[in-house]
Amino acid sequence: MNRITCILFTLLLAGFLSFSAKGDDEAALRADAIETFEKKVAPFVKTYCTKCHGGGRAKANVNLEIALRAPGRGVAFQHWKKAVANVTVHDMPPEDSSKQPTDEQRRQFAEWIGKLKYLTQRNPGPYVIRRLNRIEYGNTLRDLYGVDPSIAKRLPDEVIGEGYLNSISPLQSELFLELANQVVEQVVAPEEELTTAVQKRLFGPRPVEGADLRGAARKVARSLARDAYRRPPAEAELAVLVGIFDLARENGLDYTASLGLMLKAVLVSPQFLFITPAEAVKSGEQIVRVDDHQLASRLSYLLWSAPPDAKLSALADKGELHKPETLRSQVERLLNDPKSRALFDGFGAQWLRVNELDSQVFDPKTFPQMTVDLRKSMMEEARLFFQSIINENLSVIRFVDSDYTYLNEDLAKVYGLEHTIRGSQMRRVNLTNPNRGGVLSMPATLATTSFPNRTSPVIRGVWVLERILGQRIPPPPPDIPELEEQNHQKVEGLTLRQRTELHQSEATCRNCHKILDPIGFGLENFDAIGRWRDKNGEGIVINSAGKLPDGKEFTTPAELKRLLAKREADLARNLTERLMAYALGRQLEGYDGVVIDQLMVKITKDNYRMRTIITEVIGSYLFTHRRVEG
Amino acid sequence: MNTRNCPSLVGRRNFLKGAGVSLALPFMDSLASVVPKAKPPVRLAFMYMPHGVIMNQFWPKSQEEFLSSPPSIIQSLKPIMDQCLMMKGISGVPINPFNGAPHALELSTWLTGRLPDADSRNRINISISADQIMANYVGAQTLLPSLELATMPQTWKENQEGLHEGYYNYCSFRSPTQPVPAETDPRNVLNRLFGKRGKEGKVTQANPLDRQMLDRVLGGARDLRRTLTKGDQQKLDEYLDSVRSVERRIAAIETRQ
Repeated sequence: MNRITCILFTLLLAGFLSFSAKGDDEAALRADAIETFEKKVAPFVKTYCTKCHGGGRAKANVNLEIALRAPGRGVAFQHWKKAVANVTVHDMPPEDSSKQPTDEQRRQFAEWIGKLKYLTQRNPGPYVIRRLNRIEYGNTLRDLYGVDPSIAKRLPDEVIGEGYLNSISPLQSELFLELANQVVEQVVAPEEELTTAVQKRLFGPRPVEGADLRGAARKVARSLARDAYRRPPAEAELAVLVGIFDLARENGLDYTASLGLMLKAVLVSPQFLFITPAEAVKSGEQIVRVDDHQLASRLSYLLWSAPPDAKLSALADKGELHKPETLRSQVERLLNDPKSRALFDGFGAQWLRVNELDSQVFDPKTFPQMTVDLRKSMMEEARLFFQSIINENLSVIRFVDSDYTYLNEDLAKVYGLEHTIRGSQMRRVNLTNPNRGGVLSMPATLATTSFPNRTSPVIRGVWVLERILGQRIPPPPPDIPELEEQNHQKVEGLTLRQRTELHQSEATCRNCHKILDPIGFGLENFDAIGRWRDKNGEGIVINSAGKLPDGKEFTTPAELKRLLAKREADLARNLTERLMAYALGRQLEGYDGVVIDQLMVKITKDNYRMRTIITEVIGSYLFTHRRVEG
Repeated sequence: MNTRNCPSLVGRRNFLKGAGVSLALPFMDSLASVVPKAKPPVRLAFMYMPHGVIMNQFWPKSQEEFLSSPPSIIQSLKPIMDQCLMMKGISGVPINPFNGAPHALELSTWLTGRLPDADSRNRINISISADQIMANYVGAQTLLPSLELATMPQTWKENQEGLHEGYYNYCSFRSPTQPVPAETDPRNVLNRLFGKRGKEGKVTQANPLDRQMLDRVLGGARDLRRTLTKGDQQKLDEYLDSVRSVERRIAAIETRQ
C-alpha cells in the first residue's frame, strides 16, 4: 500500500471509531477526548515534539505525526505511551531545546493523553482458545484423576499471565502423550488386578458377561469427556472416542485396556489441552459473551489454576453462571477455598517479583544465612501476607502500610525478633517497629531487588515506581557501562549513595536517575537480604533521606511507607490493571483503559478493598466477552 | 529406538560430549543407522551465550595468536581452530521502531534475521528461524527434527516498547507465530534421545496403537476446527502440526524396531 492510501485508511478508521460509542457516559467522555485532543494535545505536540518526532525522520522512531493523524489507533498508543514517559521525567524535550513546557504543563500532558483511550472502539479483545499452562495442566490431572500434580514438572518452563505464550510445540505434544501414558498406567489397573478407586469412579462397574460393551464404553466416554473437556461433549466427539475403543478391541485389547486407550486419547485431545468454547459463534457476530462453560474454566483457572468443580460445572450447565449475582457469589466461594493460593503463586509472586527469589544468586561468603530454607520462609511470608489481604478483604493500602507479618524462627532473625519466636512454623506476628510491615520492608522483596553482594537503590527505586505506583520507566539507553567501569578512581572511597548519585552527573542518566535513586535510598537501611542496619559495610552511617517524584520528602523507611500509602488510588489502579492483564493473558491497550476507568469508580467507592478489585475484574466486560477474529 | 544395539557406533557419553550443547539438527540417523562405517551426516548446531564475555580472554590479539595460542575462553576450540571464523562488529543493526528495547530482541532476532511485525508487536509475529528451515529440509527422516536446549528457566520480564514477553525468551521459531520452547532438564533430553526406562528397566518402545489413536484424535480435532472462528482455527493448527510431528516420530521408530 502506498503512503497516500495508507493515510486515507487511517483517517477513515479514525472517523469510523468516533461513531461507535455506547452509553451516554461514554459518549460524553468521547466528546471530551476529541476536544482535549484537538485543543490541548495537538497544539502541545506540534509546539514541542513534531520538529524531531514527525515526518520521515522521526527520531528514536517516535513518530507523533502518525499518532496525531489517528490518535485512537493501537499503534498511536505506543507513541503516546513513550511520549508521556519521557515528558514526565523531563527527558523530553531535550535540555538544549529552546522551548520547554512548565512542570504543570508536563503533568497535564499525561492527563490529556490518558483521555485518548475514549477515542477507541468498544471492544473486549480476543479470547483465543487457550492451552492450559503447565501448572493448570498438573492441577487438572490432580483434580480429575488423583495424580500428583508434580508430574507436569517435565513440561517446558513457561511464563504465565500477561506474558503467556499460548502456543504448542512438538516437544510439548510429545510430553503430553508421554504424561498421558503415565496417567493411564497409574489409574487403570489391568483386568486381572484389583481396580483402583479412581478407575472405579471413571469407568464404573465392569459390565456383566454378555452385556453391550460398546454401549457401556460410550457411557464412560460421555462422562470422561464431560469432565476433561469442561463442557458437554458433542455427539461427533463421542463418536471419535468410541472409535478409539473399537480400535483397541480390534487390536485384541480387553475391555478395561480399551477404556484406558480411550482415556489416553482424551488426555491428548485439544478439547482437554485447550479451553475451547461450548457454543459455536453465529456468522456475522463480532463480539460475543464468553459462554458459561468457557467462563467457568476461565474463572476457576484464574483463581485456582485448576478446573471447575462440580458446583461451577452445574451452574454452567444450567446457563446461570454469567448472571452478575451468581458470578459474584462464585468468586467469593472460590476465594474462600484453599486452592485460591494459586492467585499468589501465579499472580502475586509475579507482581512483587518474588518469583525470582528462588533462582537469585547470593554471595555465600557475604550472606551465609541465605539458605534454601530461609528463602522458602521468605516466600511463605510474602504468600501468607498477600493472602491475608484477600482473606480479610482489606484495602490494598495494607500492602504498603501494615503492622503485622508472618514469621518463623529463621525469618525472625532477619527481623531481629529471634528472641520471641521459636520453631519453623510460620505464624502471624504483630510488628511495633514502624519501619517494618508491608511489602516495601519485606525480606523477600528486598532480596529480589538486590545484587548478590549488596543492595541496589536503583533497582529498588524502579521496583517501587513500577510495582507499587504503576509508573513506566523508560529503559536505560543501550551500551552504558556499569558505574564502576566508567571511572575507577572517581568512585574509590565513595559510599554507595555517593556512587549512585554519580548517575546524576551524567547527562544521559540524570533525568531518570534523579527520580529512581532517591526512592531507593529510602530503603538503604535494609541490607541485601532485608536485615536492618544503621551503618554500611564501611561503618559509615546510612543516610536514607530521599524524595518521591512529586517532591514529597522522607527521611526513614517508615516515612516513605506513609507517603506511598497516601497514593492509594495509584496503587489500586496499578493492581487492578496488572490483575486484569494476568486474567486476560495479554497486555492491556486502547479500550481496556476505558473499562479500567469504570471499574476504578466502583473500587474507589469501596475503599480499594482487595476482593472488590478481584470481583470487578472478573465481572468486567473484558473478562466476560470476547471479540471474534476473522 | 535402537541405539542400545549398536553401542560401538556411538556411546551415550560420547554422543552427548560431541553434540549436547545447543540447537542441533539431524541427530539420530547415525545412531539409528545399523550400517557400520556409514558416512556421518552433517550436523548443524547454533549456540547462544548471552550477557557477554571478558573480551581480553576471548578475542585473540592477532591472527597468529588465534591459531597458535588462543585466549583461555576459546582454548577448547584449538583442535579445529583452522576451521573457525571469528567475526565482530556485526552488531549495531538498526532496531527501529524498537529502540527502547535494546535487549528484548537479542534472542528472537538472532536466527530469524528480522524484526517483529511492528503493528502486532504484542503478539509473537516474526519469522521462521534458520534452524527450523534446516529442520524442515533435512529433519523429516529423523526421530527428532531438531533439539532445543537451554540452561535457564524463563522468567517474566516487564515488556518494553509494547513487545510480547516471548521475544525475550525464544530464538527458535517453527513459524512466524510459533516459538519452540527449549528443554532445560538434561534427564528429559536423555529420555527423548534414548527412550525412557519403564518399570522393569526396559526402554519404552514405540506403540503402533498410539499412532493410530493419535490419527483418530487428529480427525476429531479437524471436526472441532470446523466449528471454530478463524482466530481459534489458527491456534488449533499449531496443535495439529505438533501432533502430526509426534505421529511421524512414532512411525519412524516403528520402522526401525
